Amino acid sequence: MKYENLLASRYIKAQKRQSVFTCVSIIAAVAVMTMIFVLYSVSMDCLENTCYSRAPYHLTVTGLTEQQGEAICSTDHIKRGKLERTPDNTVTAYILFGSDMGDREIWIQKALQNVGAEHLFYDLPKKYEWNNTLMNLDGIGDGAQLFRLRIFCIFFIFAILIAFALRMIIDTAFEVSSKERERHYGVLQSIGATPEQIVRIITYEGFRLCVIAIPFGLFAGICFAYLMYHVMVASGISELFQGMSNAKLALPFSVDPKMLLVAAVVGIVWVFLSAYGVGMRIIKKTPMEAINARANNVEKIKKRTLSGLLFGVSGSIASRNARREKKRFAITVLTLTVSITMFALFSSLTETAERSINGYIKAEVYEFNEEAADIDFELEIGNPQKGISYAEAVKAIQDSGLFENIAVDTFESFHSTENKGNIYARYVNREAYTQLFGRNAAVSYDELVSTGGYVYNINCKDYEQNAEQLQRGSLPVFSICMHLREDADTENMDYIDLLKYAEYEEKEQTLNILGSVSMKNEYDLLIGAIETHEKIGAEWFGMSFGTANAKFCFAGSSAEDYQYNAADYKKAKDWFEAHSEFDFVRMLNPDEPENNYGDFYGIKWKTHSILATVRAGVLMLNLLLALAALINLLNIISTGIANRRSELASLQCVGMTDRQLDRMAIIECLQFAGAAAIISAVICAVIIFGAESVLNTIIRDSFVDESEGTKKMLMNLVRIDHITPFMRVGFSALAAFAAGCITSLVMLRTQNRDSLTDQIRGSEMKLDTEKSHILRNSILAAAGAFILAIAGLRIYSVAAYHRDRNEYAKAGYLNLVDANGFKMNVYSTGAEHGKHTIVGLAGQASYAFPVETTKLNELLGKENTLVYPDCAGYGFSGDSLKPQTVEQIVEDYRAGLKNAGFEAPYVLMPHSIADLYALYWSMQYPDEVEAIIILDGTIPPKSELWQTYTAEEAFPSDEAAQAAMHKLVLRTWLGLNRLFPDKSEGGATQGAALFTDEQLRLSKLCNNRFWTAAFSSQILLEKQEVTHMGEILCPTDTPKLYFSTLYTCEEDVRAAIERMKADFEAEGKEFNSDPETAARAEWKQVEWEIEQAKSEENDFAEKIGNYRLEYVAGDHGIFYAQKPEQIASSILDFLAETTE
Amino acid sequence: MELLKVENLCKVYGKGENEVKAVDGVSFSVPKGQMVAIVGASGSGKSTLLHMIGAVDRPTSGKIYLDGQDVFQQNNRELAIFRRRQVGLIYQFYNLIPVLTAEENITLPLLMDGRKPDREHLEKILDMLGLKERKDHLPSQMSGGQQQRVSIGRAIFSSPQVILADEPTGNLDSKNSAEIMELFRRSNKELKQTIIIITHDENIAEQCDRILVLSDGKIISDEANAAAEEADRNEI
Repeated sequence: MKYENLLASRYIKAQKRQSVFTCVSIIAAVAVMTMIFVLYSVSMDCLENTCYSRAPYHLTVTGLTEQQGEAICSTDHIKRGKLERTPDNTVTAYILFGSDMGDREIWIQKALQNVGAEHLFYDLPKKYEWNNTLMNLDGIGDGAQLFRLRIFCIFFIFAILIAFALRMIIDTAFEVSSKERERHYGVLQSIGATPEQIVRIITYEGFRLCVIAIPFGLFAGICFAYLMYHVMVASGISELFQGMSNAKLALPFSVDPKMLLVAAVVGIVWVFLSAYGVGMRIIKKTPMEAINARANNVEKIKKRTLSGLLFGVSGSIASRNARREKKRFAITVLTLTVSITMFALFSSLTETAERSINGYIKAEVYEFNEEAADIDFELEIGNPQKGISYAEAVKAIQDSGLFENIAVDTFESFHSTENKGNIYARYVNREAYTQLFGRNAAVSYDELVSTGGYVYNINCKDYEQNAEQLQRGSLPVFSICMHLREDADTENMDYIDLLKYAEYEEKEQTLNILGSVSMKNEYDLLIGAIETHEKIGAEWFGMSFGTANAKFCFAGSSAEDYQYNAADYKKAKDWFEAHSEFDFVRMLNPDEPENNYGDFYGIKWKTHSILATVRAGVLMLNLLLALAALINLLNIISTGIANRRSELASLQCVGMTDRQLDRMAIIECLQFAGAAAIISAVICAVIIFGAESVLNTIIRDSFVDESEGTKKMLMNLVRIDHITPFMRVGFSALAAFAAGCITSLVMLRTQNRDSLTDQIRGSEMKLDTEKSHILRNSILAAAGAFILAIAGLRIYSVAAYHRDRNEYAKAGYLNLVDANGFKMNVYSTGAEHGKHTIVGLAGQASYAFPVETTKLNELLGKENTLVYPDCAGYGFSGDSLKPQTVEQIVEDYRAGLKNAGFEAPYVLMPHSIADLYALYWSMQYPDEVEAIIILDGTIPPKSELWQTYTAEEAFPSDEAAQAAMHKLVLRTWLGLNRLFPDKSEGGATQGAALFTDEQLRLSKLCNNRFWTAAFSSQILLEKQEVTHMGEILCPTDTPKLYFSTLYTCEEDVRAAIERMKADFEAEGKEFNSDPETAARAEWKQVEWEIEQAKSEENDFAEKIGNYRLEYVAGDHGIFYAQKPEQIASSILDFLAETTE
Repeated sequence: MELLKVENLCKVYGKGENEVKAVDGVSFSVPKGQMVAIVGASGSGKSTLLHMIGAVDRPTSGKIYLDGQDVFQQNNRELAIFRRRQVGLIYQFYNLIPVLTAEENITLPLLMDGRKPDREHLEKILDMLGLKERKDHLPSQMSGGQQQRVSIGRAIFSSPQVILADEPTGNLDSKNSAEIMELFRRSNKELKQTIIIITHDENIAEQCDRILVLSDGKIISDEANAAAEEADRNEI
């Protein structure tokens, strides 16, 4: 072994303490770096997934014909296109790009031209829309690359700054350890070591430490990043932005190996640079200088120092020591200062940011209603077109009991005749009026209602001007009236359309003023009664289609204390969705259809979550930096004491007591901490006051036109708290001081265990020539622990599975036979040698199909044999790694049935997606299939007009889908899904009321092993297989009976809602909708879709041949358990007719 | 034949008022195979002179030639190799590397060269130094005498042109001192090793061929040692 290597490894072992410190420094630095990198890529992924899940397409084009739609979806650059039919018989295309198309507008113009739909390019309102956010994130379209690059640059700069700060820590660690060995390096040089060899020794040492430190650092970094990610998810951000239960799926935590590699490389480069730098510094001295440690000698000393005055001789020596190691002192103070300053400022800045954002939201979002800042929601309510007035809507809101402080505003604006100023009229309901004015109103609400008059706000802008008129008790104004044209057919038009048919007329009015009230509001002028407005409105506008805004809060909440309550929030939103008959949800902004109401609570909550996350992130960063600075400080202090061993022993020989030594050490710490505190305080002061005055000047100069009040408000917003940062500086300096003192005292005690002479003579280096295998042992231990954990989990998973299977067997459902490479469970019931062998094929994820069909089986089983084979990965059949294509599954079924002793011909009874298997079966092996009974089967798309749940649509890319699936399968394989159950893997909860407890228990057993490899393969291949089947389907003579759960009329919808209500109530959950009204609304929505579906069914019928259709009122997933009698009797009749 | 030539060597520390001339215009030369003692009071510049000859310190002015080569014309790398192969320095305070065993310390210059040490030669040296049982011990596990012998071993192992010893027996008892001097003498007589020894001890000086006396950085006396020559002749 080269001697440099030998020396390097010996030094590491000999100076354990120092090596540990250096190692820890490297770990800390790499951890921070890794954490930042990982969080960056996770954030970008989450952002991408969020945008993707909300609107997974880059471009939507409306108004196409079906051919145009299909044509445009096959234009180049397009990865995927989906078509959807709209009520007006046009098709909307949702397009996802796979590659950059360059200039977007040029592309779309050409594309539309090519399909003969160029008019759509020029039409207004716009017929196509780009999803800018997603395009930017995916880097598609002009300017998008720049966006991604910009984000990356910002991140990169930030990362570089942090990298530099962290490098100092590693630098110091190396510097400190090398100082101790300067003499040795001098000796080595005097024997003949070349400068490169010296540098190599130090560098090799560094690299060896890297071998341990970098993996730990990466691991620690990933753990910290995961912690941060958890905070983010737990703060409810995911629910806010996703609103769906598989938030975890869409906000994945994944580690990009490339990022890890970069972090590792950065770590290695740091270490190399530090080692190299230290080496270069050392070889600058001649060997003799190094041996005599000449540079360590003091050139000048101050005879009188402040410390000396304050603390006597201890202090004097302490301050001379500090001067001796100027560079080291400077670095320590610097790192401490950086850490303390960042801690103090960041926290304050986050608080200020928080306040500003909240204040801004109050100002901007609530506009001119300051007191309205206390509200949580604002919507438009009521739609006279549908015969529902806002009074009814408001009453419904009040009756729901979920809200309070309801104020209804309709704003109307008038011009006063004399001065042409604007006057606003605001109408409130009774409750709001009481809330606003309490008992101090000059005029009671009833008076307002009975006279139709108004109350005037004496704090508004134009009060003075109108005061005179008010003395006379009335105000002449102009109002703009709208009349509908005679020929307007208002049946299906909304507000925007109606405006096109309105005619305007200016009318002079006189408004009665009954009294005045005081409201802090510059704009509101008149307050009227909502009940009156309805009357007046009808009178003035003829056809009143004005709308009213309602503002209200959650019951029991208050605006200032941010008690964000996800449950209540969800209740409120659900209530709005359920009461769509009141037409709460209307297009306020046609460009943002999802922003149908002013969801201030949501905004506040999102802001709060974001700020909470930012705060957590900043805190974490601060903690890590503080940790790094602390490590540094402790390293330097303890090494400083160790290096001066002999000096300190000499002092004791001369007669210095322990206490005096302690005092000296404490004073040194005081110097570090004190210097750092003072410098930090100065920097903080400069930044805070400087920032404040700069901001004030900016505000003053750029907002000259705004009123004083606004300016003051803005200045208040950006004011940074003056006291807290300094308190933080003091607190952290104190903490550093305490830590340093404790270290010093411990070191002194440890050193003094040796006798004084030994201390003077000896060196700190102790070395056992016995080889120590600490590294090897710890790696082995860690690996062993990991393997044990994995093995333990797998054993648990297998044991639990076997236990479940035993239960299933005890209940009589288990019958394992060989299929193609796995054991298939083939359950049979009914008659021994029945007239027909009816084979039930489970639908997707229907693991407990045999249990759920118990009733049906009883009815059919009197004369027939029922067989339920479970395909690979389902129920208690074994798992399989083969791709689960239609062919594979059918072959598996055939093999299993044969081995179980059930000979063809069969009557196949597939549910949902299994109809593909049945149809394929009958096409390939027509002699084996007597008849097919399709239980609400999937209809393979000829074009993509039906939405099927596919993995492809839930994830931005195939890789993402596969990765997510792998994770889920691994989770199940290790039994983690049993230890940490997830709601989405629950299995059937629908129709819980239909089953006995025993059946529910068995059903749960089947679902305990939810994500198998075979199942995930099915999901990933679904789209491909369904499409393929659509292409190869051809008619056969095999008789087919198709049960469909399609709604045929409003009654069906109502029944479905009633069933849902029953399920909710069975689980103890509240069901807030009235089935009648909800059904009415829903039917109106879906009527046209049903027509479409029926035509699809007919096409399907033609496609597969010899087909009979029957409707069953039930839910797709469970209707065979809801209506077993109807189904059973139809099946028996059908079989009798067609096969016997 | 001249092995070592020192020409007008000067070493000055400090500046202005605090200037100290440790070595002040020293010139002399040493032929191959000679054992020279340098004596003088404390602070006379002996160590400084020796360090410069060993190229571990730079002179302020003047030249040193070893085997015809100007020592300080070399760059740092060449100097390092020079120290490795041409000279062997022995210090008063041993200056061993504490993390290496005795054997490793002795063979260190060779290891730096990347060469494998000749085991026979190593065994011979260890034998000569009486360190056979200690060869795998660390410096902290050896007595002062043993440590000094290790450092001598280091100096002589690669057979350098000249050995420079700075008070080699300064920290040893009389028995050890005598043994060490015996080693030097054998090396000088049998292997024709050129040795320069700094010493306070008259006895040691008496055993050398030539005595240089330094005072305040200058040579004040340079005489062949009649007594030693006498002893040599007697031996022969």
